[in-house]
Amino acid sequence: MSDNIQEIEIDVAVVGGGPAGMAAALEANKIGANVIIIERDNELGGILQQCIHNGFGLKHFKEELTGPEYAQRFINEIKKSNIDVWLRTMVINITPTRFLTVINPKRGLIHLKAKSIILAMGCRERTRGAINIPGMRPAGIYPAGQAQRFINMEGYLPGNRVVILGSGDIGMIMARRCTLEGMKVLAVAEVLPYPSGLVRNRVQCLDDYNIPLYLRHTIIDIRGKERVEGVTIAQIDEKWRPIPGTEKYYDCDTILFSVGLIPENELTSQAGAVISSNGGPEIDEFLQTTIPGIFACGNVLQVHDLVDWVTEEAQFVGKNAGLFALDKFPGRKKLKKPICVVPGENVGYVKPERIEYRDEISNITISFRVKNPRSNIRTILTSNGKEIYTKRHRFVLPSEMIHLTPKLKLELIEDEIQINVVEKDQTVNIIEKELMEEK
Amino acid sequence: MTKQPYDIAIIGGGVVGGAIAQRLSKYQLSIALIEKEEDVAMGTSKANSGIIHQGYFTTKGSLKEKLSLRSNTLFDEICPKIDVDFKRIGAIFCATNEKELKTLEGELKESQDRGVQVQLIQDPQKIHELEPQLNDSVIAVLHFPKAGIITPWELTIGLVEHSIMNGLQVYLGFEVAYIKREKQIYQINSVKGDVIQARTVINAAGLYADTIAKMIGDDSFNIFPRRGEYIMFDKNSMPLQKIIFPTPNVVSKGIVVSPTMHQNFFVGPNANEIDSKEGINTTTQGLNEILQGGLKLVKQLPFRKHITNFAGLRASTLVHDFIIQLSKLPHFINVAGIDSPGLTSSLAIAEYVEEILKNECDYKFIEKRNYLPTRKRQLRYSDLSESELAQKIRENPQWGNIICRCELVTEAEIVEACHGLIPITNTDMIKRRLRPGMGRCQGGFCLPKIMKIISREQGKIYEQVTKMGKNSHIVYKRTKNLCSEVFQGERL
Repeated sequence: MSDNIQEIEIDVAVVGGGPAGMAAALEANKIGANVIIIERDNELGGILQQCIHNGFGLKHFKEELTGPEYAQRFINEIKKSNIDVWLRTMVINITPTRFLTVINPKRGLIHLKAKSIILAMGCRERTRGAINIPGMRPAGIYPAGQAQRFINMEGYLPGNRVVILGSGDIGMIMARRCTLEGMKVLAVAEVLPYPSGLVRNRVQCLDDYNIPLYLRHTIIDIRGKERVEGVTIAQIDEKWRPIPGTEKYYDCDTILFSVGLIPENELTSQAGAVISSNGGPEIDEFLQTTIPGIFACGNVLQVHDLVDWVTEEAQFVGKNAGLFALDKFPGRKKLKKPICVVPGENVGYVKPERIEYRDEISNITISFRVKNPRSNIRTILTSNGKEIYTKRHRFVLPSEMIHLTPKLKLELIEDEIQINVVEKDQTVNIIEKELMEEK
Repeated sequence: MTKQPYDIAIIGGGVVGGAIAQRLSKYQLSIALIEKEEDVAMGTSKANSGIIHQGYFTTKGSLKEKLSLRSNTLFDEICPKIDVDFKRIGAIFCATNEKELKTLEGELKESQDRGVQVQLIQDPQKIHELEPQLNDSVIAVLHFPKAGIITPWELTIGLVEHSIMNGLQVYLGFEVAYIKREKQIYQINSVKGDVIQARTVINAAGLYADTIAKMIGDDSFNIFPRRGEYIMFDKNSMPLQKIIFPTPNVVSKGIVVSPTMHQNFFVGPNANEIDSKEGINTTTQGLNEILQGGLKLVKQLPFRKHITNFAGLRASTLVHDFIIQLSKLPHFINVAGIDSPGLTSSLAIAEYVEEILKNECDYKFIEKRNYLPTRKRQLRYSDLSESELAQKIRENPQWGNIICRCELVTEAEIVEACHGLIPITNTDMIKRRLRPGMGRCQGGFCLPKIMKIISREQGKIYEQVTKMGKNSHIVYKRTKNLCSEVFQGERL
């Protein structure tokens, strides 16, 4: 380390001051650790600050809040605490030995030596290029979250006539937002045979505003040299090929993409942690990555559908990372060989991917998402072919993360646990589910 | 613009126009570079393979053969002078059957006749060592070690900036409407009614070179746009050693898999004749075609790691060679039909044009006494060590504000670019100079911040900051009837 660089020692360094980082920092602080939150933006709150719609906090606070209100409750707590908050600060490197290099315009370049690190960098939006949509490349094509930033944070309208690809939650919420701001939303197209966001968003953001949703449709052409002038969507067949004759052309100046979120793990990889197939780091039951003392929570780990779950996950991580820093880590008795937790039938991914310790095995929460919507199913956990746990579900949807606390018993488990979602191979009737929910 | 006529006006701010300007700017000549877009390198020069070829698969005796061979060697001389990165990583042509092997053997002989360094490799072990990612179906490769890669718009910007340092006048947003010649002076009129006068015109207008030539009654050639589509993949998603070609067919050198100077890699281009010179759209069929083409060369393409797709247009003619000659009017030189290997040949084309000028025009080619021999590109975050960066932030806090996370670009760099030799007016100009928005998030996070910096530095109202000039507005108006404003302050 060169002599002109300041070095600071800290118990817990939290990378990212969004909902995950804030909840984790508070929890680590509560048990007596010194905590720094490093946030690249001008304020804490992360993406919640641009989510000015309501629907946040129903589970955690038992009341309905907007994004900024939800964030503010944590910001107020942090202000009361002795947590150090570094705004406009970017982490540019993390080493496996838990050194962080951070830069800030005022403080300069600093080395932080942390006893534990909590990764809470969130996620970024999948782009048009990532899903290989053809056509021209004019202005007027935005990820839905960026349009949300333009409207809600910067106070600018990104266009007048809008077509949205993808029925992710941000896309549907932006359909409503654009409409309320006086823009005309012509259509939402979705490649899947069902909406990819929450059902409540489809009802409250599209149906209530008579915005048509075309399932199994994609964009096959974008027109306009300087600014978008139009877009053609078409239905796709089972092999995802456009079906000739189903094309619909829209005269529009704006296209929003809401086609998924990707955990932002460049720093995680730099630190040498293993990245799992879902894009987030591979973790153990304490949400520790493959690098000891580096933990992850929130959307950097797995993309959540509700911030309330992020908070819960982050509090657990905050406690673990705090205890790790104070040399009181609850995982003490390491298993001879870790137990792998793997996705089985109709399961996209599973967190955690491995169980490392015997200590808390009966309290482990497993979260996962299904690949396809199903109704009247059972979730079955098997270990080397033997069933060790089962639970019934009326409905499962890929858009809704499933959390299980199966009260695992070590004596029943061999070297692997597989999660399967099985039984009647029946696609959920979305309408039926909506009716059920409304009742 | 009732100034003295320029000695030379170059129409077209692509790599060819830039190279000619750079070549001529060492002389005591007054030169104007005229470009219809708001930046240089806006046409074919910004959407091509970025490969510096080694004379292979050119017709014997053609200008393409002669100039690409000569130009390849010039990159070692020019690139360090103008501070543009260039790497000779080598290219391999792959054969997957006996017929293709025959073609490669033929080209081996021709390349040896040209005096080019080349090897034919058939030992599977050696093929694998040369490029571990190659598909197992490849039975032989023809290796050209002196082929290289470059970022084409960086080359163009470097050439033009070096020329500006030496007196070049650049007219951006100057779309030529018509040209008249009076008293041996060309009057170049723009669509907006501006006029630039010049004694000599060099027509390097790329796709529109035929349109420009027709303005003086020269209809000796037509340009037919031939589109090539590309898919760009994320940084470090597949380590490649070499530029990988299939065995070429008569139409083109085929779909390539090649690394870029910035650790990305691409597949493409295909080759389709199209009607429109503005048809830079990609298509579903085209993107499938190039993915299939790429998969014939490498074992696999990383799933979902593509970050963008784009298309460029080759300015092709029926003669299948460059057209570099005097027009029927004196002092009017056409530099047309510069399709592949056009980027490669650009530096030698400039030399060739200089020869024509020396032979045909009555200028005195006296070198400037105050000629600045080198250009230095601006300092980048990635050039700095940690302690240098620490020092930089102390001197200027804007070095401590990272705007683009994917490509690691700081506010200080963007501010400096705003006040560069070519004034920045839109966000794509920043992207081509410093790369914010070229990474995996494609500007998802940094775009509003870059708009604020341009607004502040150029005193432009925020909603007038465009993506690429003209009508390419990013936002239209304020919400809630708020007032338009120029962004001020530090909190981006």
